[in-house]
Amino acid sequence: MRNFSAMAVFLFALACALLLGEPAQGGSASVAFVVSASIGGPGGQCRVRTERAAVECTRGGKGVQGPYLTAGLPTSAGNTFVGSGQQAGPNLVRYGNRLGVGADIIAASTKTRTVNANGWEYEETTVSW
Amino acid sequence: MDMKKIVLAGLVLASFGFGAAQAQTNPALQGFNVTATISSKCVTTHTSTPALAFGAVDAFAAKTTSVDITFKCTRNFAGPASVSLSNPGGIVAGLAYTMSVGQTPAKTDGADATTADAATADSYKYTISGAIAAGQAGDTGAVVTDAQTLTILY
Repeated sequence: MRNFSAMAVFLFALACALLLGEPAQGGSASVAFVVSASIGGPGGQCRVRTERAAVECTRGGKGVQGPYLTAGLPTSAGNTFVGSGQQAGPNLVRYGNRLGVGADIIAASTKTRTVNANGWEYEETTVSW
Repeated sequence: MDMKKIVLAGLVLASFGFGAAQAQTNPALQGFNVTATISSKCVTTHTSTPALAFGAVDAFAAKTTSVDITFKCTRNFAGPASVSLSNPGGIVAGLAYTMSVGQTPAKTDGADATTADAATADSYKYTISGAIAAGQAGDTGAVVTDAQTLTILY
């Protein structure tokens, strides 16, 4: 009986020693970081959205420079394009409604084709940004 | 008093003195143990705020970037159990971005302790990947930084 008790005490002490020897765990650590970005290009950038008959530009950017659209749309910045339609005035290309994520829309709101004595009326111009 | 008695007396006195000296240079010894346990811990290795930097983004174009964040932890503990981001994404420069982080960090082992040198930390490096989807115009007037947090549990 005495031997059994001594063995139990020894095993208990051994278990305690092993438990104390293990590194205790439980905690957390955090690191704060920042996400940063800027818009490239002077005053942002634009793209042509043929399906919307519009040019989209970076919100707050410089917008489209130069000639106004008369009809049709360019396929990329600086492209000359040929369209058919009616020139509605110097502000046919207007700095338009905001759509999507921060996009300013330069909309070609007038795309009405007209027919003159020679057939379709064609205009040719350039849009740039 | 003859010479023999004088010499004998000297020897007796000298033996007393020797005995006293012996008692001072032979102290009792008692061993003792130095004990400590570790409460495992991880801390950041970064001295400045890390940045998931997209840089100058072309509007309407997709862009990706990444940043490594490293923790140093108690040598030989089980390692971080999980990692999480404060948000899965956000908005910066008017652009929506998403982030992800792998659950398994790249581990670099430290050095075990010796009788002469302390242990050095194990390092756990997490890579955060960020992505900006194409088709976004952005906003030149919007804020250009967004604060986020990476947290590990262990």
